[in-house]
Amino acid sequence: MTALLEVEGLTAGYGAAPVLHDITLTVQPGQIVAVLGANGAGKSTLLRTLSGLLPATSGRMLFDGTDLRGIKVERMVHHGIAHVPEGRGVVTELTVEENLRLGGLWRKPQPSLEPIYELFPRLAERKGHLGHQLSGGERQMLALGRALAAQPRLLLLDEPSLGLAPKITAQIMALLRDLRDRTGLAVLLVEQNVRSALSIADQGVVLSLGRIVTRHDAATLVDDADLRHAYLGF
Amino acid sequence: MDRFLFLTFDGLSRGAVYAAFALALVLIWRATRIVNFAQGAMAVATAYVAYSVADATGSYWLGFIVALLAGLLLGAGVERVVMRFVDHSSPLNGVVVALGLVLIIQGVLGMIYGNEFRPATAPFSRDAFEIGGVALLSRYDLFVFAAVGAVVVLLTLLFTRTPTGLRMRAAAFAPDVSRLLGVPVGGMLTLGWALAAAVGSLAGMLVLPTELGLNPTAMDIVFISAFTAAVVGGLDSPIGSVLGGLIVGLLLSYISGYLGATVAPMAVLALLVVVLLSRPDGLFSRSSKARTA
Amino acid sequence: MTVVRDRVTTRLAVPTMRKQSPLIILVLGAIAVVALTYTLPPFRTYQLATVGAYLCVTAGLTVLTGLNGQLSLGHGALMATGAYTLALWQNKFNLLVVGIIVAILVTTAVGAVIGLAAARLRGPYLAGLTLAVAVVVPSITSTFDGTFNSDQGLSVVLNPPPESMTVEQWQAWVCWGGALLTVFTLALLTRGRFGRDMRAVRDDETAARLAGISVARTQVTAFVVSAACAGLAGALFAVIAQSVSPGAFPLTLSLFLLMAIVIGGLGRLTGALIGALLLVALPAVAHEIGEAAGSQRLEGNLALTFFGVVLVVVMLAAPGGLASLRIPLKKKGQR
Repeated sequence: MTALLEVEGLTAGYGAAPVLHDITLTVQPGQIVAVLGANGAGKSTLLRTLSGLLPATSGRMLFDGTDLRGIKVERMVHHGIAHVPEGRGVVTELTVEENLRLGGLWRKPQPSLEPIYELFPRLAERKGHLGHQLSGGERQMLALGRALAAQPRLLLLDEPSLGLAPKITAQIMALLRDLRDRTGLAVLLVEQNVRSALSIADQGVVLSLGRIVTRHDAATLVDDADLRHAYLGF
Repeated sequence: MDRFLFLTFDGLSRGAVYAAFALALVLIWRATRIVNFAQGAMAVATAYVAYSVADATGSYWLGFIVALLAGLLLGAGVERVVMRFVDHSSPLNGVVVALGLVLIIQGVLGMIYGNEFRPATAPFSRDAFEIGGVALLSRYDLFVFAAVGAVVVLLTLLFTRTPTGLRMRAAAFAPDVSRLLGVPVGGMLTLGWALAAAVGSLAGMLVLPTELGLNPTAMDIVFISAFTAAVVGGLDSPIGSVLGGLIVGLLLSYISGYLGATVAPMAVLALLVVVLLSRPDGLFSRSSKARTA
Repeated sequence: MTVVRDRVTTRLAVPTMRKQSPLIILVLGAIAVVALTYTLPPFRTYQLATVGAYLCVTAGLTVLTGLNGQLSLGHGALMATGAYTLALWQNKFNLLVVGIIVAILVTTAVGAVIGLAAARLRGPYLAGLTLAVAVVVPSITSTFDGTFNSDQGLSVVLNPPPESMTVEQWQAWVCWGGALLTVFTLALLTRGRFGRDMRAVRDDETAARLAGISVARTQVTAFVVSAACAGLAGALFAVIAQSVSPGAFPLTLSLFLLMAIVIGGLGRLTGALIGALLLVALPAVAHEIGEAAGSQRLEGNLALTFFGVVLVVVMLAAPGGLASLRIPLKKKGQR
């Protein structure tokens, strides 16, 4: 099976100072890969580089065989990559419905929002509300729903658990696993909440100071006490 | 009483023009956090082109259409060539660049057309016809209401009913997120500037026949009035800018009518000062916080 | 609290104009001007006088915008205030020195009113308000035409200069006397505590506030100081032209002033001098080109266009915009 996302020797950063060094990783179709690590390890930078918000200084990024480096940010979604940025990126001045429509706007004809509302009944109830009227959990659902409206093949998800109650985090994680199982969606999941992330991930990659320090099957990372202590601090 | 009614309708007619012009300012402000201080000069430039075309062809309406098209082009050009490269670290940068454009446009217009006033003819009679024995409105006033009303309706439909409008709003509110969602943000900004400049051109075409005529600096006072209208409405609110335009128009009409035309600019300044100091977010906003933008 | 104060003050410890003592600049400047007035032909001497008058206002503006971060498009109107005050005073009392002082005082008062409003506004709001002030001048002169005589304006009664010198020499001496005093005063002001406060406010209002600096008072003071400079400049222009009219203070004058300080280098008094020179030199060059081309339309408008192009190009070419045009703050120990 060919990898959906193939990153090799990727270096990137802000200005002259590289934040990411020599990152190599792959994501298979239908695979959930968790990127773990402390604050400032470069997790968000990795996602921002993949979606083109930050230019890569060197290295290769192939998505389904296409070189991502030549693709503009606003074209990523056409290739099947959806990025839910940290802080969720709900457009607070638009309504829930408008936010969702925005997700599928590039598709012709525009997809129905019904499947999204079925996935997130709460959003259906709040259709006409403005983004800034939503709770944190609702915003996360909206951001996720909006990304799914684009019907991506790869979801770049940045800290979905940030600021959410454990129960809601668990719901979202369950939903991701369910989606993966039903649609073959691949997810690159950046998380500080290691336990939740590994609860659904197939593989875990640990970043530290912009480098990959270890990678294992999620189950191994959870089970192996030495690895856990060394890299994940629990 | 008759005079009061007449001044009221006259004020609404002026106000409609200020509303359109203020709307153009608000469109750009919302999208780029730049107050386009060059908008008056840009509108005059397109009006010069329009009247040149009208003189050459004998058709006012051809000139009118050319003005709107020229506005679209000029707006897109200004965004693509100049404004896109303005550094946003300080809000002053955009202001200074726009003022530079004012100098360029006024200078070039002066070189081509000269600095004396040229007549700007109206397509309809400006004599008020009587309704029930009271002179209230001219055909030209009706034309102004129709034109501005059409613009407001079309823009509302564009922004609320079309995918492009949704893209434009998203690009204005959250450019980075919008790009991630596949919105070509740069293109939306260009389109926004083009539309705003065309609306500004329309306002210019509507207001110039009611003022002294064509002159490179003819829109300076209009710009101040429209800026005041936009501030009265809150700068961020399209609806507010329309209401603000009508308020400023009425104020100017009453002041000119009862105190003399020369007092009007001072009244605008006074209104601007009062609003900025007491309700910096506009008369219609609920919160009131210092403008730090 | 003290920590923040330390941080702010060390960052701003060294004022920007420390190269020479202001007194030396004053003396050298005076000698240079006197020497020039005895060597230049009359028309050049007249232009020299104009540069001096412009220098008063550009110096004040560069302090306001460059050091304090406030933009004003209303300084043309403030110049008009000074000019009209002087004209009215002269036509009644004909006491030039007192008249100039009165002009400065009146403009300072007007500037204080605008400055009080301006201190609460930022960015485009401040620009819009001051723009409205600039545009309102003809409206005032027309409304109170009994005093200001509408568009015609007023002539200015002046005693003839001392017999030993020409009118142009006398004008240059008067204007440069004012300009040098202005620069001297501003140099003293900005290297002291006031200058430090202004830069702190410009760079970070919150930090300045935490450091115990009154942001509003600093901003109002900066505006008032620059208004006083504009009043002096206006009075000097009235002296040079021997008349005042609203047409002499159009909106473009305020835009020209803005351009002058941006190109001269914000916050630097030498920049203000460069700006003042440009304000006289560029229109003169444009005038000559216009004459050579035999086109009247070209004359004024060429300068206008050129100023605009330069302003836009400088702003776009300077990374960081206005901020990068300021002279950098250097710490002690750095070169």
